[in-house]
Amino acid sequence: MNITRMMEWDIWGGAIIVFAGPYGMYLLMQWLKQLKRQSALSYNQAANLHNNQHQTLECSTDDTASIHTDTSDERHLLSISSLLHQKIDYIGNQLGHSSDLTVRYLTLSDHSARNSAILFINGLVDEKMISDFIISPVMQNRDSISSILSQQPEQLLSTLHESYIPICKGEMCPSAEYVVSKLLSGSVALLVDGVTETLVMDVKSSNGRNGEEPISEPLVRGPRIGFVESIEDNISILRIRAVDRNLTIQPYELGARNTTKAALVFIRDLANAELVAEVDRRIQTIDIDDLPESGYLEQLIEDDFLSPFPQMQNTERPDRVIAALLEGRIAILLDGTPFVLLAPVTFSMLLQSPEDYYERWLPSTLIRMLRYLAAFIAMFVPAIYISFVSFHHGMIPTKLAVSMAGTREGVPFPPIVEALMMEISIEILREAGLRLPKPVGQTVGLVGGLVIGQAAVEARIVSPIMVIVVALTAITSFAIPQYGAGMPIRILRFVAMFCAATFGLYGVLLFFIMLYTHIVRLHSFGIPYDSPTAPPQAAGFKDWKDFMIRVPLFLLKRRPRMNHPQDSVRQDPNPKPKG
Amino acid sequence: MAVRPSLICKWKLLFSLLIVISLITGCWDSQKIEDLTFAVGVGFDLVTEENSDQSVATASSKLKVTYQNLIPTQTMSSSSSSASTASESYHNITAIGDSVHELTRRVSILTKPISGEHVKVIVIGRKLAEKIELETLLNLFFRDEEFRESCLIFIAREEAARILSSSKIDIPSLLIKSISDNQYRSTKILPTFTLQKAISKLQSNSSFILQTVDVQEGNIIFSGGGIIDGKTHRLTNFFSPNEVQGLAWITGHKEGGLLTIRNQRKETLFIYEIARIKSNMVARVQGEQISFHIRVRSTGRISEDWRNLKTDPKHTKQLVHQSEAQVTAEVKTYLQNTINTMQRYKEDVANFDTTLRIQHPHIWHKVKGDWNRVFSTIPITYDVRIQIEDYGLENMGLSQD
Repeated sequence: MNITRMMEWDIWGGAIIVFAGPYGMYLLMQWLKQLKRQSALSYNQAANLHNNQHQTLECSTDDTASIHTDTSDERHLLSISSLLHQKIDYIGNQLGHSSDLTVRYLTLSDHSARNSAILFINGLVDEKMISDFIISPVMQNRDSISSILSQQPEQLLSTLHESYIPICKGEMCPSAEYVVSKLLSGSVALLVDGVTETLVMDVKSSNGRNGEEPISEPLVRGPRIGFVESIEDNISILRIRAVDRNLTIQPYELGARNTTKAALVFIRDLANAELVAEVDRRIQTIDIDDLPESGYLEQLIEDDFLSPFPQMQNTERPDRVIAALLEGRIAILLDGTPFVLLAPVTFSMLLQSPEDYYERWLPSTLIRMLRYLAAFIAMFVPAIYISFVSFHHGMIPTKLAVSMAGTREGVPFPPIVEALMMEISIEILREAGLRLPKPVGQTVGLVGGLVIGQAAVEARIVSPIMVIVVALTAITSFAIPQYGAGMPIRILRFVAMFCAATFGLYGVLLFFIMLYTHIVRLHSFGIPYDSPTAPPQAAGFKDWKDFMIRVPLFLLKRRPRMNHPQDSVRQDPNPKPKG
Repeated sequence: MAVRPSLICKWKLLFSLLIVISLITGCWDSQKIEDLTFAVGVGFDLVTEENSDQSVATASSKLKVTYQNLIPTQTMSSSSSSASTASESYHNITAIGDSVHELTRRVSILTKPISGEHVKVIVIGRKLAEKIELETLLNLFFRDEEFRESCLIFIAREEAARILSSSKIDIPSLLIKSISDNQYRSTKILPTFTLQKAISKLQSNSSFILQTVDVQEGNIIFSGGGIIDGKTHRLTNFFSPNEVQGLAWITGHKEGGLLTIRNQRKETLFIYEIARIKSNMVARVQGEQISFHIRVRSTGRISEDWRNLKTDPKHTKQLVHQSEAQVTAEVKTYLQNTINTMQRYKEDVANFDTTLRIQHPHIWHKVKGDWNRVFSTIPITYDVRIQIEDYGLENMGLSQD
C-alpha cells in the first residue's frame, strides 16, 4: 500500500532487531543447553569404565545400607513368632517403612531368641532413657522375666511395668492402631511374642539445639521455630507438628565421598505419586562427591539451569514445610543444613508467606496484593523512569515533567548511566551490608544510602528523582518474603533497564513479553511455573482463591488443584450445621 | 568437553551478531528530558502594521506564532537563589512566518527543541481567525501526532500574544485551562472545546462557538464566544456573555451556574442556583415548514435572597411558585435573546442541525446545503419549567408548608 514506507531502512532495521533479539536469545539458550547435554554425554563416554566400577561400588554400599537390611530383617522375622512379626510389620506399614522407625529386638526367654522388640521413632525419644530404664532392667532380670513368660505370659507386661521398668508414663494397649499414634508422639512400644497387648511408655526427648527463629524468614505472627543442622532433629520437628501417620520419610545417602543423609518427605496419600517418582528419579541421578548444602541439591535436580527463576523453594520454617506437604508438595531435607527444599514451586508461591494464612483474610489479601505491586515496582520502575525521561515526555503530567527536567538540569549523564550507577551501588551496598556483622551492617546501609545519595545529588551526579527511584526499588525488593525469590527480580531489573534505554516503553514491553514467554514455558517438576494463571484449563479459576487474594479459610475447602494431590479435600465440603 | 568446533564457531558468530545488533541501536530516538522545552500554550496572530516588529517580517509574512514555554524549576539550587527565579516561571517565544510548521522550525533555532506533548491551549487572535480558515491554521495540530487532541481552543478578543503574556506570576496558558474547568460553576463559560471537537465540526461544515478570552487590567477574563461559520471556517461574530448564558439553556447538559433575578428597577431579588438543566429539542416538519420546539427543564435552589422576607410560613408555597415564575420569565428572556441573535447572524451554533438530521433525515438532506439561511427563518418555540426544590430557608421558618 505504502511503497515509500517500505523503503525506509529504519523500519526494516527495527523489525529485524525486534525479531533478532528474541530469536537470538532463544538460539543462545538452546546452544547453552546443548553444551550441557554434550558435556554430559562426552563425560559419560570418556568415563564409562570408571563410572561402571563406581556404580557397582555404590550399589554394594546401598545394599548394605538400606535394601538388604529389610530383607535380612524379614529373614530373621520368619524365625520369630508370627504374632510379633505381624505386629511389627503392621506398624511398619502404617508408617510407610520410614527410616526413622527403629526396631530393637530383645531376647527374654531361654527357649526362643528375639521374642521381644522395642519400637520407637528416632529423634522423638530419649535413647538414653530407653537403654537405662527399659533395656538394662529387663536384661538384668532376664531370668525372672523368662520364668514369668513361660508360666503366665498374659501377666508379663503388667508385671514388667509394675515391677521392673522405672518409667512413669506407661499403659497397656490392646490395639496396634493406637500403638502407631503413640509412637508418632514420642513413645516407645514394647512388644513381646505371645502377648496380644503392647506396653507403651512415654520417653519423649528434648532436642539438642533448639531451632531459633529463622533470620531469613522472620514473621510477625507465627511459630518462632526454625530448622537446625541435624536431619534427625529436623525430621523430629516435622513429626512433632505433623502427627499424620502418612507422613513418609524416604531416606537417601548422597555424596560419593562425604556421604550425607537426605530425606524425601511427603504425605503418602496426598502427594501425587508421579511427582514423588520424578523427584526420586532425579535424586537417584545425583553423582557428586559432596553435598554441603541443599543449594547443591537444588541446582543438580532443577528443571532449567538457564532460568533466572528458582525452581525450588528453600525455607527454614517447619510451618511452611508442613503447609507445603499438606498442599501435596514434597520436601527434601539434607543433613547439615537448616534449609529445606520444597518442590514444585510456582511464581505465586514465591510471593506468599505463611503469615498470609495466620492473619485474617482481609489483611492478608492486602499484604499479598502489596507484594505483587512491590515485585512489579522492584522490577520495572527504574526501566519506566528511564523510558519516561528519555522517550515519552508526554506521558508525564506537565508539572512533574517540568520539575523532572529541572532536577535533571546539570546532570552530566544520560538516564541509563545515571540509573546504572545508582542501582549498582545500591546492590553493592546491600551485599556489603549482608556480609558485615549485624550492627555494622546497618550502619553501612544507612551511611551508604543517605550519605552517598545526598552527596551524589548535591554534586549533581544524579538527579534527586533517580535517588527516589533507586530507594523505592531497593525497599520494594525487600518486601518479597524470601531472599531467593527476590533474586530474579534483582537480575531482571537490569535487563529491563537496558531495554528501556534502547526502545523506551516499547522495549520494556518487548522485554516483558519475552520474560512472560519464558515463565509460561518454565516448569517446576511438571507443574507450569505460572500456575494458576497459565495454563488456565488445568486448574480452572478455583486456585485463584488463593492467588492474588486470599479468600476466607472456610472457602478453601480443597487443596490447590495445580499440584494434583491424591486427596483434594481439605475441609468437609458439606459441613454439618453449627449447633 | 568435545563440542564440535564448527558448531562453536557458528554459535559464537550468532552470539556476537546478536550483541552487535543490540548495541548498534544505541538509544534509538531517545531525547533527554532536560534538553527539551515544554510548550504549554500556542498563540496565533495576524501580523499587522503596528505589531510587525523588526527584520523577520518579510512581505509575505502574515502569521505570528507565540509559544509559551515553561521554565524548569531548579529545585536543586539553594533556597536563596531560587527565590529570584520564582518570579518568572515561563517565557514566550515569538516567530513570524508563512506557515505554522515553518514557524515551529524557526522557533527551534531560537531555543531548545520544543515538545508539543504538553500543549494545553491554543489561542487564536481575532484578526487572524477572521482572515484565515481555521482548518488551514490548525492543520499542523491535526496532522502531527505530537500535539494532543485534547488541547483546548480559544479565540482572543484582541491579540493572542497579549493574552499569553498577561500575567507575570501565573502561567497564562495554565490559568486559561483552569478557568475553563470552572464551567460547571457558571453558565457564562462555554463547555470546553477541544481540538478533537474542532476537527469534527470543521469536517462536517457546521458552525460552532469558541470561548473568547480577553485581558482586562492584566487579568484574563472569559467573555462570551466567537462564532466560527460552518461554510467559511472563519470567525464571523461574537456572542455576548448573556447570549452564551442563553445558549447554555438551549443546549442543556449544564450543571451548576447562577441566574440573578431582578425586578423592574434592576434591583437584585434573589439568586437561582442551577442544579441541573435538561433541554429537549424537537424538530417538527409540516409539509415544507420546519419548526423547532425546545423543552427546558431545570431544577435548582435559591442560594441567596435579597428580598425583604417577612412571609408567613403559610405563604411559603406561594412564594416558591412566585419565584419559579420569575425564574421562568428570566430564562425565557435569555432564550429569546440568544435565538434572535443566532437567527440574526444566520449561525446555528446550538446543534439544531443535528436534531433535524437525526429526527428527519430526509428533510435534512434537502436543506443541508443552505442550512444557515434556512435556519434563520425557522420558527423556534420553547417552554420552560423551573423547579425550586430547595430554598435553603429552614432557619427562617419558611420550610414548613
